[in-house]
Amino acid sequence: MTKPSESVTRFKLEDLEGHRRSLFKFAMLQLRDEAQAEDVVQETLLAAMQGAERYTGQASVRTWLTGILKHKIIDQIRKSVREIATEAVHEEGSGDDFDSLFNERGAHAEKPSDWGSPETALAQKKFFEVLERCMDGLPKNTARIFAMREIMGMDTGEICKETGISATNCGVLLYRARTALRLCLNERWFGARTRR
Amino acid sequence: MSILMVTCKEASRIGSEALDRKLGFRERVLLRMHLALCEGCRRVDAQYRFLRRAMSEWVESSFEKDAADQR
Ligand SMILES: [Zn+2]
Repeated sequence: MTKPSESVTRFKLEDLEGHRRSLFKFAMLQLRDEAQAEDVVQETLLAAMQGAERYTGQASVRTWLTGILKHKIIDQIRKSVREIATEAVHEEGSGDDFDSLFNERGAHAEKPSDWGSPETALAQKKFFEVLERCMDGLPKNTARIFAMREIMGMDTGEICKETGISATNCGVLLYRARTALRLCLNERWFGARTRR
Repeated sequence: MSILMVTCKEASRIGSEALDRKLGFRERVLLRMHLALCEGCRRVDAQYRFLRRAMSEWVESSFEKDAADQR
């Protein structure tokens, strides 16, 4: 054991336990498998306890924990790389790339709606519940790629490398995820509000 | 369709890509031109940007919720 530093005493198991649920949620989004998600979270908390002396206090505990989680998830994903690379592009409901949103000339079939000042939604707990439900609705591999990009903040180069997906397909999947989420939020949140 | 113009469908794709990589000069100009002329695509673009912000706030808020539950 190294001599106890300030950072070691800063982490009691309970401190880290408090983050378990969020970590699990993030892991679930990417792994879509409860057992695997529980495993990586457990490993993350354990690694955090063991490596507490490496926590410099410069980043928030959250950033530090998600950093560890990210690596655990990537390890897990590496094991299913081939599955992701082959399945992702052919995933259900994604063949048409939302062709129906556009007419034969490639223009919007229906003008996208104006969300006004959507930031006000960010103050509402209910909005995030809707957002979570919309994310749950994404096809598995599309959700994984989207989560790697937007939750873990990985760049597409990293994502390609870790999943074996080409840069082009990665772009396609992110486009699909964003479009699906846009439509879902439009329907379940912004649409419902403008219809009033 | 002129070679100088992209369709809404293409603009939606390029707009998404712009969040993931630095666009090439040609793509950037085409997108900017299209957005200048097309209100629908400006809305899509605003929705993309909001989505990114919402995702990062979601990460923040779930950790805060955890911390609050602990107290
Ligand atoms: Zn347009």
